[in-house]
Amino acid sequence: MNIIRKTYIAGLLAAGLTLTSCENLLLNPVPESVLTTTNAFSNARDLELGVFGVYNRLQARVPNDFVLMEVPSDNMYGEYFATAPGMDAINTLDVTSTNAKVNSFWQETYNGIFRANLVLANIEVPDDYIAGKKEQLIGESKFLRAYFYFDLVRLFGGVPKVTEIIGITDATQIGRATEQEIYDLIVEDLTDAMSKLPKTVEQGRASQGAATALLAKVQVYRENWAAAKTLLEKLNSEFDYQLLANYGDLFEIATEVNKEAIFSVAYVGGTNGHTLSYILLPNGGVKGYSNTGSRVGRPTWDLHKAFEEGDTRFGQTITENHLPWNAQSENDAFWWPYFSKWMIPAEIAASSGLDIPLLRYADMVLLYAEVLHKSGDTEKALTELNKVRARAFKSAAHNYTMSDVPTADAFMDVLLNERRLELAVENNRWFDLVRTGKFVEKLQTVQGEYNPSTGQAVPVVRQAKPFMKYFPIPWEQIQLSGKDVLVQNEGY
Amino acid sequence: MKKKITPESACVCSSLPGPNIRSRRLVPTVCLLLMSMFVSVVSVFAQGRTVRGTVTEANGDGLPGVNIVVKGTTTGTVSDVSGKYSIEVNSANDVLVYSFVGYLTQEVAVGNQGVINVELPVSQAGLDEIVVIGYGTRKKTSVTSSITKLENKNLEQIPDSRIENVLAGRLAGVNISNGRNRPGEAPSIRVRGLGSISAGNNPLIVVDGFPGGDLGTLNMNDVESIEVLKDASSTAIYGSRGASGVILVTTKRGKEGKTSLDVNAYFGVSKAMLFNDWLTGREWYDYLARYQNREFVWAGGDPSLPMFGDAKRPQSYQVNPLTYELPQTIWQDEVMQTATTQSYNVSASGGNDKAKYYVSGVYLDEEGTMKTAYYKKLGVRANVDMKINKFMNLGIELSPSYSKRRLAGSNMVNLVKYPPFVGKDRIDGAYPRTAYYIPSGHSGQASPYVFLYGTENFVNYFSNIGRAFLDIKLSNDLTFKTSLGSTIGFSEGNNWSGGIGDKGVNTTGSLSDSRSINTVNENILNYMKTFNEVHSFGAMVGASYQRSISRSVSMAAVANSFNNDKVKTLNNAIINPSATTSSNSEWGLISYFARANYDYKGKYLLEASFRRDGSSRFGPDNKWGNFPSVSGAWRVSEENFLKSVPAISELKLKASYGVTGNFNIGNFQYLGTVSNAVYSPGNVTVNGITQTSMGNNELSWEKTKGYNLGFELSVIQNRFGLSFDYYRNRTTDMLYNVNIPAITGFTSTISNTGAVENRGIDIELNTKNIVSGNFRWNSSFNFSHNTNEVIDLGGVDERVNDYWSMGFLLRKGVPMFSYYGYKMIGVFQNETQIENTPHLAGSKPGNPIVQDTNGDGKIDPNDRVVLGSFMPKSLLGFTNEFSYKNLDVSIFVQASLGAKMFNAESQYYEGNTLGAMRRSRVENQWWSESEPGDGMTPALSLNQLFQFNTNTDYYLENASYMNLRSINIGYNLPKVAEKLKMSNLRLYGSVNNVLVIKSKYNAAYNPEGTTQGEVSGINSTPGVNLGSEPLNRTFVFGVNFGF
Repeated sequence: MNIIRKTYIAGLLAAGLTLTSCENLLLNPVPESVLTTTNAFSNARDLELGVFGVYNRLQARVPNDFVLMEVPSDNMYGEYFATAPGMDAINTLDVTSTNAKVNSFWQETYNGIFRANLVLANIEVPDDYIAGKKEQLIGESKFLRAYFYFDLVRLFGGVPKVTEIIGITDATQIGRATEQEIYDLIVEDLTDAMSKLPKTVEQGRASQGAATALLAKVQVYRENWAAAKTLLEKLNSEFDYQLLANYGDLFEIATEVNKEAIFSVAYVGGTNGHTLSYILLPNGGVKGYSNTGSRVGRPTWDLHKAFEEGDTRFGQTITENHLPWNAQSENDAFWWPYFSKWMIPAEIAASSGLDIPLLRYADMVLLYAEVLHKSGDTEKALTELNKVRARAFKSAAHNYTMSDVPTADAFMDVLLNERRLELAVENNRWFDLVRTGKFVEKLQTVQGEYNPSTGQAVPVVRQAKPFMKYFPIPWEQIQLSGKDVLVQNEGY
Repeated sequence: MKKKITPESACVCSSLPGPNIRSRRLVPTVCLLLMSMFVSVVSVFAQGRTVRGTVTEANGDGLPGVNIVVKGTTTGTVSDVSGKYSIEVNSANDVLVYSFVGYLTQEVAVGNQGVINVELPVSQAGLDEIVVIGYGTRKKTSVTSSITKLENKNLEQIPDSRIENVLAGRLAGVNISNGRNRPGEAPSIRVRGLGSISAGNNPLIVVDGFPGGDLGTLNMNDVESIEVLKDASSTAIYGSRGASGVILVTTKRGKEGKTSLDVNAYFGVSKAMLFNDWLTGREWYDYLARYQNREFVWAGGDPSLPMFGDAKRPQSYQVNPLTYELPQTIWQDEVMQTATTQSYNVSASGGNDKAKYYVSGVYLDEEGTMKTAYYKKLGVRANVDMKINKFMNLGIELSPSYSKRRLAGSNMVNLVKYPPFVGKDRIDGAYPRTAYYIPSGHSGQASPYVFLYGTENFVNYFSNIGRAFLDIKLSNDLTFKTSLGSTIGFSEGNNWSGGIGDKGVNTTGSLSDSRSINTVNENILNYMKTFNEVHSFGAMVGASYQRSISRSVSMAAVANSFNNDKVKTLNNAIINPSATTSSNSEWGLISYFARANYDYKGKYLLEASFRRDGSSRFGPDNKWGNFPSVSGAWRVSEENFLKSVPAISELKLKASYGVTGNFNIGNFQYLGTVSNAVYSPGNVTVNGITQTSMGNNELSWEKTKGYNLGFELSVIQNRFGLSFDYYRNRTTDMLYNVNIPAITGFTSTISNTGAVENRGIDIELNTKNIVSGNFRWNSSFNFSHNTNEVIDLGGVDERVNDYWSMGFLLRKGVPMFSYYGYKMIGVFQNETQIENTPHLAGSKPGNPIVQDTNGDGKIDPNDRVVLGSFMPKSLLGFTNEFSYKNLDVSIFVQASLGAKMFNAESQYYEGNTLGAMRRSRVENQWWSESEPGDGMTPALSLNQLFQFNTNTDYYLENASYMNLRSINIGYNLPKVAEKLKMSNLRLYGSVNNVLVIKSKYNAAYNPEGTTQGEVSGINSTPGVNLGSEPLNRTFVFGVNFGF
């Protein structure tokens, strides 16, 4: 018996020991379904997918950009914030450093910059690029990085300059670069992108034209009129961009790829769509278009009344009477103006396939008009401006003449008004007011909901002050950095 | 509360649970009769003689129902009502074993005696009560750590589909709560507070020694006992996973003797506890008009304008008189129902000296009190023990379980908030919406019935825990046990929802499918020896290897692509490629452990253990963690100076210290993972890629170090038992996604940072108030108190995460995720008052006055204060068991004190969505300076919600409650049973949630209700209620009988 037992002991201990050879299987399994940084970026296709990853960040952020870029302007006022803490404060320009919307914009945008840096950091790894592909991917990454920085520098002023992959310890020690340093980076990136990007690309990707247009816009913001003029003229002479005959075609899926769209973010309804097509619509939806709406932001009466009779842009931008999704008849419509610019008849309004143009030719035409004016050629400037106006009214009858713009101020008023009407809800108004220094004057009180029976509009008190040209650096980011590394903007 | 483990007995009555509830005097009579029939059959074959005698208690009273067996045989009998018995024996070498629950078992050699009278002493301090510990058992008296034990006494007669709910409040230091009261919902279990932010706070469930079990698939009928290991020294032997406590479940096993069959069935109804102050008709209209006027005044309007039809009042501020003229519906009452609940369980057990078995099957069906919801479960268990030879035993356990759950289409709030003027019957094939009657203004949401009947969400779950083990007795002192077990889980979700006629609702469909196989091999060598009769020594060494592999698949339809409503599976739709995925994952764990214990004369007890775990989840250099523990106890009552005090039956002092770990994070998190990031160049959707987590090669174990000091005291022959524990557990190197500067590209990364501490006391008091005569009464009471405190956050002092403007605070010195916001001290009545008082920017009359905490004359975020915690401070449980002859009653009360909930659900019933309103939520509001309400209820408005209301403590409500949680009344019918050839027959009734007492300021359906999760990561928002389901009062009638 004892011998038998000893045999068992020996056998069992041996079995127990052999199990230790499982150590590698149990403790060092290779992830089957997870790509990691060690193996993800090895060939040209991987890097191209990495570039799509950068676009993905922009694609996800853009539909909500109106929160920081339109709500505080005199185009829009916030209507419904039930699920959006932070928006109410933006609506009344009571923005504090703890504002959730400001922080998430910062986080998302730096994530986009990281993704671009990730591609650039790995760009030399593959050796199977076809001719021109590597240059295209570098160009796209730099274009997107510049786009992200342009947003940051316009909203916050100088921000931390990050152009490579950094660790946490480094990150806590990186303070704000100057506004000039960020703009220098943007110019450098876009110049490089212009030299590397192809002229024709797939819908939704950045082209040489896109880089040229963005750089031109940047130079206008820097008031480098000569540089901007050269770029815009290059855009006119070397590329085939033109205004569409019909303004509304810019916001239809069938015509979303067109000669006016210089750079649009691509969406596919249902599978890779966005929410902008319903988020501004009334709660009851809109008959024939959307069965739902989130009524987050609404057109101010200031914007509403700025449209002249006969302007085809008005009907595209604002719908005055609300006809709910399940209204029984047209008679059920009632006065409740809302932004309908992005509204499309959608199977699923919450996942809209309408591409969102970020750079379009009408914007460039108006920038060119501004540049020409600043260069002293107001007459030619008016010709450019009138191109946009004539398209809007479908006739030259509303064109401005030199007598309409007796002074430089008058010209700028006309120009800013035209930009406002042309580019409403396209995230330009706030920046236009800030860069021209007009925001303090324009944003004391704006007119919210208008009651046609009384002729009164509900005032929305904004009380803009000069320091508000920049949003506050998010409190969380200051806290997560080293002591005194991230310095808050003045006034916050 | 306590029941002694009796030796295997041949009597059918041994399958009856403890003595405290049932009458001992009549049931055994039935058994006796049955047994004597059985014995008489046996006696035909046995050429023995008869031994007679009387079994008595210490006071000389005859003791009925005592099991008497001839040792090593199936021959047995039961003493009669006066304690008398007679039994056939074969030879003088036979030994008779006398056993009865609650008394010490006696063995008497027959010899030449013809009459054997035996006195059974009452079991002293559970002297031979066995407590299950990790990888072993201990006599209760030898336990040196903190363990709570619960015997299953009629608990299977408490109607609940989840056994956790039956345990709630019965175990000191264990908080079981139901955030969502839906059929089949898993409650949360927290042992001695929360010690982790991201790595989970669920205790490890060990079923019959198998780590990683699931209480949800267990059947209470199968449960013999449940032990909770609470302190670090008892859980350290499960090192890697012990940090949140360990729950050991022991299921029933077969015993030698006659086969017995046991049936337990109940059927009953549940009714939800609802609100009865919903407004309808004119009263509702009047408040709506007040609400709209208040909004209109804030917007600069003139409230004297007519409410309807005057264009000078904008549409948004009008109220249509149709709202009260139309027939009224209280939606709460429409979406709820009286639900049925039923359970049927059959078990059989028996065996001989070669093989023993226990098999059972259960079917359980619980309907939701919310229409359409249900939970059904089918389970089978087989526990088989086989003796292969003198030194080898083999055991096999199988427990397949299948459940099907239908989840209602929405939480409570979306269903009951609907305005009362909308009818509940279909019109033109669709359930009408508000806009059908009134084109604008009211909720744009579909009818509650569309949510209910237009949603078909099913979760099917199949699982099996199976295990085989081999026990080998290597010598008299040394045993070896090896086991191989696996948990197989298949979970499948099928979802479809659509408008069922309402074209405004998108039709969507999805499915998910996940499977996991978790395999464990454990090898344990156990040594036990007593030297010189005073030195007892035990040692155990073991190794455990565990691997889990899993696969998950999910698919979804493109919204609105279903061809029709007839077929709801995805083959009737177009698959959405970007929502369709499959992935595999796995983890592994290797553990080596050892334990040694020594006791001197049963007086001085010392125990130490060590475990070393390696986990695949951590970085290459930090996979291994060490988890030691040590504990000791001094049984003072064994000392001579106390032995002379007869009143004290047991006094034990104990102390322990241990280190435990936590690895419950996702797989491969130490790696910088690259995931899909979709983009659609050329309108073709492509899975782009990008790095989505930062990676951390240093990632390692989260560790909890804790000590426990306590004593156990029993007095007057064990009639009063008290146990007390003080503990302090500190979790360090916490695993969580700590926020990092966003310029890294990430907002957070997982790391080992920070520390949190839990300290508190557990008290258990068991008393036998009346022990003799027809009327008996036992009580058990438990109390626990826990304090949670953040000790360190790794370099920062605090973090605040805002949800609905309420701050959730992590700050050194306060409980984690405390509520953080402004303290409301009144309501502004007019502009003058606002001008003269520090106020939140933009304050209007009707908004709260908040405390200027720092007294600087302005209100800004620096004035926010800690406003309370979602964690209860104290828990109480109190069970009283009465028996009178054949009748027994068990009454259980449970209470939770000191928690607060963020009951933002209420905002939906205050006019905010122009929907349903509750009188208690509107009558005290500030409506205007002339209608100022009670002065402490601000103007509650959707437009004011985040800026003025949810950022104050207005929606923080006292979540303390006391619940008369269950009453079980049983009546035993021995005479009827006898006629029916049954061994026992019991009729019972149970009522759950008989009476819930809570603060009058708590306006939730369920004081424990939370809908936004508990603690699971740095951005947790525990304690938030946005529509948790009500508690149900359940009445069942049941029958329990056996053969």
